[in-house]
Amino acid sequence: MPSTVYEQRTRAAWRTRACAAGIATGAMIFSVGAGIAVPISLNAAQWAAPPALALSALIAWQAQRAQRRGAASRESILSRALWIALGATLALCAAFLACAQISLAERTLLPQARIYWIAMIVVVSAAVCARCGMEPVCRLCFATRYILPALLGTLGAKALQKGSPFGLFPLLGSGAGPLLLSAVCMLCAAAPALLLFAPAGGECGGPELTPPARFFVLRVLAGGVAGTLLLFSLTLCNTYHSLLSQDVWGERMLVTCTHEPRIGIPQMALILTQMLGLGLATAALLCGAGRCTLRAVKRLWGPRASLAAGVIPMAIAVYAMVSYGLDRTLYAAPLLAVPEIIILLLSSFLKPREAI
Amino acid sequence: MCDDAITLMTPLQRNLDVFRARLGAPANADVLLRRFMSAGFECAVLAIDGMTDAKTVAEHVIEPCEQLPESAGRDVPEEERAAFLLAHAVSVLPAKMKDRVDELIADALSGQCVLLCDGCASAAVLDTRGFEKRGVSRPEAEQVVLGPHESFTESLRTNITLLRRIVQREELTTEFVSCGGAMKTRCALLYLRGTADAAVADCIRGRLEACDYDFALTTGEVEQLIEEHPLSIIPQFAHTERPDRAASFLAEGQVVVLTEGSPAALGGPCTLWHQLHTPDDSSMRWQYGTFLRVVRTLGVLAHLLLPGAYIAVLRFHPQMLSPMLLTSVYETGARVPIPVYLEALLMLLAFDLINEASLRAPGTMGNALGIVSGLILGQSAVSADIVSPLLLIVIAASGLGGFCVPSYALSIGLKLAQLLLLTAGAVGGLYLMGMTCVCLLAALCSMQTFGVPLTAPVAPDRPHNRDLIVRAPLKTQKARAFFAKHRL
Repeated sequence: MPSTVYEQRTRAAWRTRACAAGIATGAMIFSVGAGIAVPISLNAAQWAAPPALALSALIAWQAQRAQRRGAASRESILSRALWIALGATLALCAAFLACAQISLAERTLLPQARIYWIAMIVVVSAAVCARCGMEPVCRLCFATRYILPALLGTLGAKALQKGSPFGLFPLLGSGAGPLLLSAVCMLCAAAPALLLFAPAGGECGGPELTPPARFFVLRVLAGGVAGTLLLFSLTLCNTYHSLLSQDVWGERMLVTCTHEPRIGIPQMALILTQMLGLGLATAALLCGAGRCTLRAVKRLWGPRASLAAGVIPMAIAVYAMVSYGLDRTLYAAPLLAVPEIIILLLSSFLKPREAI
Repeated sequence: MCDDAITLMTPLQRNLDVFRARLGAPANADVLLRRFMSAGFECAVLAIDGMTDAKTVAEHVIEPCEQLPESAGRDVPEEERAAFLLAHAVSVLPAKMKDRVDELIADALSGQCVLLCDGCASAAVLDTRGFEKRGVSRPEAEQVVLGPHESFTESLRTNITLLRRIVQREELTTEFVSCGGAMKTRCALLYLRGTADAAVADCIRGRLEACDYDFALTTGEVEQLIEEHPLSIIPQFAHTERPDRAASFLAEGQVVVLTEGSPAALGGPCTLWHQLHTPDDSSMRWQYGTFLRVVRTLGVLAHLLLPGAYIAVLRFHPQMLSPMLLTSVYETGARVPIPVYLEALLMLLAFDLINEASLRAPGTMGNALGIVSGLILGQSAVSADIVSPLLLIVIAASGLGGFCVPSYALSIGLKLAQLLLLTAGAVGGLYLMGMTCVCLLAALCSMQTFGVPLTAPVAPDRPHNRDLIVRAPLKTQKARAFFAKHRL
């Protein structure tokens, strides 16, 4: 029978992990929404998010079941392949969020800097954070769980002051077809919730101490809803015509009023908060990728090598995306839904000893 | 060989030869060896001049022993002569029997006197310490408006007494541990039995005993030898020179380490919040305490971020400033011949130079030096167009924020972080500053002291009173710290 102190610490550790997954899901919903849903369905982009939210809740629910039976899984080839696929998916999610950061920084904070320089800052900072370990990064996400949404809410409300009232009820945006298409494309935004599948470590304790499913689902949904609300404020702030004219991903992520002559202090603070959220999510996903890789090949590598196994694919993916063009590679993001759904299905239907 | 002896032997002369050889007597003038007769047998007292109270030795050890008649010791077995004198003549408390030469020498060197008897292979160690020491004075680095105004001294015994006077509890336990290699430092480990986690006390004791560094003389050196993250810029123990604060550590369930010769105490395990709180926060009403903490937090943030943000805004984000302010900044900046980063770096170094000089200058000169050099250097630098006036204001505001940090060690750590953020702001603007902050915070979140995360109880979540930035009324703060064994 675990002691009360032990149980409290275990729940706290899981709470930090779930918060990190929630923040990552919210960041992905906002990034993919601004990148893909906004150009397709314009002011109705936020309505494309609920299917992604539902999928992320499903993943969180399934992750809890997977963690519960964690001890039963064996090291079969299929299981290892699934761990590697999970690690690769998380690393790709991290790469997409890193690209969102690069694009936003290039259009707002560092317009005069070279894009490779910005990419280097993004990758190195994510790697340095991930070097500290998964628990510290998740703790940091947990510590900012109220600060980030509060800042985003306050600053978003400030930006909304001069927003257009016509943006309040765009139920279909460009029409039902584009909205449906953007909803399908946004399913990939639920992929960061897979972070909850990553092996439990540190104070998370054994499978018997895994909290109930709603514990995970609520936290992931809270993060996802925050991302959706930010997307909503984005479409509220920008008029239909201004959204139509923005052709760069980073510009589309800017929650601003077009009447503003300059990026003022609140605007800059809002961008920085967005950046911090994206940065934290990238680091958390990177740690998750490293942990999954370590789980798959732990006999071969130590934790540092597994971290490198997370950082290197992400860095290569970021380099490829930057070289090929961020806006073009953005349209590959929906492909992330494929491994996401495969992992979800396999995890649901495989026998416990084979599953992750 | 006499000086190879590990334990005492029965002939007094042989034992005295061992002590003489080990202590270098008679060349070593500080060694006092006095032979006398008592109860028909020969005795000797070994002490170190200046460390022991000669009057106590004369009046309470030698004189009563000499007054015993020859017949008194006739029936006493030779092996029990020292114990006999302890029971019938000596009137010093505390006293104990020992037979190991090393321990006896260590005791003598610490100011106690050793009573040896002929025919007896053990000696009585009598606490007759009486060296000169500084009296209890006001704290220098932890001033408070309300609350007590006394600080620890260099005497370990005095410090323990100061603590015991506040914590009058039967559970208060004091353990003495020797720390170090060649020159052992006497440390005291204090904790409340049943409140502090015994595993933490065991861990600290083990680390102190395992230290083999030759000269760990101060609390700061002891801290460096037992801390977990030597590369970290953040201190991992709570420092205090105030007995009332050390008492609050004990009440919370922390283990306090005192060192002979150091007027400071260490408290562990410790979180970041312990280093940001002051005794005034609790002494005042909760509204005032909360207000002071908010001001302090803003000061810390200004200290850390202001210089870096100033440079980042000027170099990368000038659009954030209003056109009028921007024109004014550029007008004053245009006359300055050096880049703004170098300008800020020079000003920060000048600020630290003044701070260090006024700290080291003797007595009242320190304050005068700080004011004069600050005024003259600042005014002259602006007049000579070496720095812009706005930067001077930024650096001064940042410096004031640094003085808000209650822990001196933490303030130096934050200064290093400030320099890092300044460089990040100059290289990559607010974006790189933000990312550097995230990395530093992640590193902070990864640190633990004795299994307690430095950022707890915020992240990870631990049960706690509402006493972090907002200080709730004292009546509502009933639980002890989350790392205590029993929280209520």
